[in-house]
Amino acid sequence: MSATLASLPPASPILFVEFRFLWIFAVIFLVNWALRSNTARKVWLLVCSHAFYTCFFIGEPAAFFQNIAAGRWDQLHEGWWFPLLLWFSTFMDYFVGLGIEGAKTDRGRRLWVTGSLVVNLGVLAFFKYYGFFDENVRAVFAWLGLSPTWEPLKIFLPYGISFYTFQSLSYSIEVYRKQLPAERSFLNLAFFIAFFPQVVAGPIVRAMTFLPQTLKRTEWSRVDVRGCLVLFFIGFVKKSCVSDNLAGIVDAYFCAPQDYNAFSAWVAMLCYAGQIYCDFSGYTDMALGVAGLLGYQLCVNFAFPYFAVSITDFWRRWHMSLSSWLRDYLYISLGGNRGSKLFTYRNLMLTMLLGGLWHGASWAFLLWGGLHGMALIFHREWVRLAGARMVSAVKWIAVPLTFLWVLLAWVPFRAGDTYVGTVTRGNEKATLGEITNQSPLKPIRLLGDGFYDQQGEKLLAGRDTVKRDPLTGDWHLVAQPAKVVARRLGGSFSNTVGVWKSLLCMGGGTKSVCRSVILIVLAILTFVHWVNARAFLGQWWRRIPAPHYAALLGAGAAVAIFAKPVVYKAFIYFQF
Amino acid sequence: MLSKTFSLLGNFAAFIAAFVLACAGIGAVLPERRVPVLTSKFDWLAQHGDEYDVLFVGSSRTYHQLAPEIFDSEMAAAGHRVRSFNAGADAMFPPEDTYVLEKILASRTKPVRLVLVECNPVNLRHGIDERYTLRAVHWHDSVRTWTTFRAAFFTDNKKRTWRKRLEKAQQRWPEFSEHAGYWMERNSNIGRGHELLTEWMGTASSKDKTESGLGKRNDGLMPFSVSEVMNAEQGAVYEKELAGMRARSWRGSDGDPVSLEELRVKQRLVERAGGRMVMVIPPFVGDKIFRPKQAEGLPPLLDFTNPEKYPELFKAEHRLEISHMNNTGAQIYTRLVARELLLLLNAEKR
Repeated sequence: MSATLASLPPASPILFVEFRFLWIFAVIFLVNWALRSNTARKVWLLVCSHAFYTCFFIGEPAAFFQNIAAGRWDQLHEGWWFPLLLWFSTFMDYFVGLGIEGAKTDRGRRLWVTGSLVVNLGVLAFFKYYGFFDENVRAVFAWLGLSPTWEPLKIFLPYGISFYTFQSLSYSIEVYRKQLPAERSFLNLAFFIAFFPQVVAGPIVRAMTFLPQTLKRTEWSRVDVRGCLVLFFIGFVKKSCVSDNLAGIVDAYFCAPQDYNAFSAWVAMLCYAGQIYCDFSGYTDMALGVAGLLGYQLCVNFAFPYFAVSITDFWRRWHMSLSSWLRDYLYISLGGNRGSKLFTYRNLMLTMLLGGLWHGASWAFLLWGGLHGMALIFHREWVRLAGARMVSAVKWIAVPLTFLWVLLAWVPFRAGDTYVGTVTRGNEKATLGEITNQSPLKPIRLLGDGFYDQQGEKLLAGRDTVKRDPLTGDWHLVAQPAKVVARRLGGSFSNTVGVWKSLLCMGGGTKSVCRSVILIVLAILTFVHWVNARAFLGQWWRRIPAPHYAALLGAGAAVAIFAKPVVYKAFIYFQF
Repeated sequence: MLSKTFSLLGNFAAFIAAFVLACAGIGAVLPERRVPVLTSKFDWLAQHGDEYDVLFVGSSRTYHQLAPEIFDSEMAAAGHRVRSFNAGADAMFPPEDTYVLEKILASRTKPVRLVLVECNPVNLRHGIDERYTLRAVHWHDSVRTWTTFRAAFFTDNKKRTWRKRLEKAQQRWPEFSEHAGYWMERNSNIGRGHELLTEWMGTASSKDKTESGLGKRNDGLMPFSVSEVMNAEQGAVYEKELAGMRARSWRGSDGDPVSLEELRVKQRLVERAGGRMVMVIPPFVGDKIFRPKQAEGLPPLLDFTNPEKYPELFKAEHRLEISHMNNTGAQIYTRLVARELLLLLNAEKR
């Protein structure tokens, strides 16, 4: 039943792992290097970046323009206008930057930067947290025995808004802190905010890292072609061959965790740890490779986080661009450790809770952030009380213990809300099965008339319909009239507790999610990762002749394509 | 500058060559893709193919409607001892049927006697249920993909202006690009490792397991349920369509050059396997009937689309809808096919 909606048409976002991206990128790449002037290149890349981003929202471009031309506004995708938000953010921060620099007093500067913070975070909060807020207010009303009279607004989350908002905010804050002069060229700023390799899922590049690169003419001779191609290839393997293969096991488990035994719970969580790491770091590797081939450098985002020796170390290695952003602009702004112990711990906890909320509007993410905040506080206390000798004495257990905590904290991150849909067609009635918030399909939201994904694509609703596959019993969308009634079945907290109990052998069912040979696969993956972390093999591929390198890459591509699933899966971090 | 360009091109060539060789190498050691219905038929015929001397090839109108048991008994009653096998499958149109026929005939060691091929034009549009499936991928070898290319862009001999040609090419491009994608998918072994891995780890869903198309008697027939009949609403639609068809004097088309060529390819395959081919047009209601002219050196044709000549095949109680008959209708149809075939063979003898 869980595969119900897996037969949906492919999503419109262009993924780095798709063949079509290669063709598109080939054109972008060739034109970029064929252009002589740096300005022309930036204009070209800005146009491409906005076109790339716009493709995430408009569906089939030809149909989109036909609908626009014919004035069929009701047939456009719910979020067709979301790309305008990116322009809005760019324009605003451009003027804020100039305003800060032009302000004669500190008060004036502060007013400008506050304006930027309020508007940027306000837009982010509205799109990202309205649904969450509305749902919880309704829950409180229901608890008080009242029924709310307002209809929920159909507000959806534009792809990448969390990433580009933080990125453009970094510009305003850096100008305010006088770490960077205000950018006079609108083109440079617009290019920095919209640059397509990182606009949707990061890394969150700082203005002071990227803007200086836009001033110099990009030179082909300075491009590390081998390094970029290897990064892209490794990213592809991580995402398509590892993450997407592990996803099947994780999805199967989380569709009905109550049916599976403790072994399955552990396997699913180990697989999820691998899946989310390979998914996100794979995306980042590809983004770095793509940007590098165009002559720009983005920041590194991961440094083997699962080999961290403490939770503090983990946050120096995991999603480094976000953690350093939160440290520099939130933790330090809150006062950092410039105060009492309790004051520091409050700041740590607040930073991690807000970091959790940055990932999504859900109590589950808040819990995840809280667990990490607790661990950070505990680690600080441990280091203070135990002393350096004791800390180094138990170093051998530090890596597995840190990993274990990270693993347990992933449970609320993955175990989202559960919904159930009932489908009626004529006299037939069937339950669509449980659909988790981070189901095999997409993160979903439940509104009055059906299921939506976070970006507003209607997954299943009254106007959509289903058909039962006579062989498998699964339901597929077809174009026949049917009615869908969706309701919430279980909250993320109860799902999280269920999985935790299952991990401790205190609950769950008897089914096994897969054979135990998966442990061999996981052991091999861990070994390969460890070899890479230790850099035992070095960069041997730099030393071989170019044709050999090209041939190896070709053969590697053939093996990677062989190992990847046929169906493309969107990157997990697209939902944030 | 020139040497740099040559070196770049050389590296690119090395990349492509290694990619193609690696794909071919991986493909050579992999087992065939297991596709629903057809794999079970291939496997069965690889072991028992020589026991059959008559084959039926075609779409659901063959797969569900031509019963080998009835056909064999009708032929036996007329003194021809034959054993037939239904190699049809749902939505199997040219050029997929040519691929299937080629594979089946290649697995035989004895000559085939007779092959009844359902007469259909080349089909470029997959139904929504067939798109992006293993079934869509399996037959896209280079020969068949080339056929889809020709069918997309060269379906007629009309002289056109370049502008018209470009317009047509633009219209047909999405259809062809889908087939080109399947060709890529087939030859690059995409997803095969994932399939093997999920099978090994025990995570493959029941959906991935191959559906058998052999039927209860292992003769390849999958009959419709006996009880299936049209309801009043469906019956009314059917009668309206049938009346419309009767009212029109000429129904159908001679076929485009690519579809006719596909029939000839099948004819050559059958003849090379020592047999002869007979084309069959099953009874269905509609305007788009592909009926090649007999004067073009094609095999003989058995046409069952005339409701005046074969009224029992068009009776509402014998049908599921405009394209298919129910089980009762299928039995009548099989007997008629055998009888018409006997008439044809006897006429040729004389």
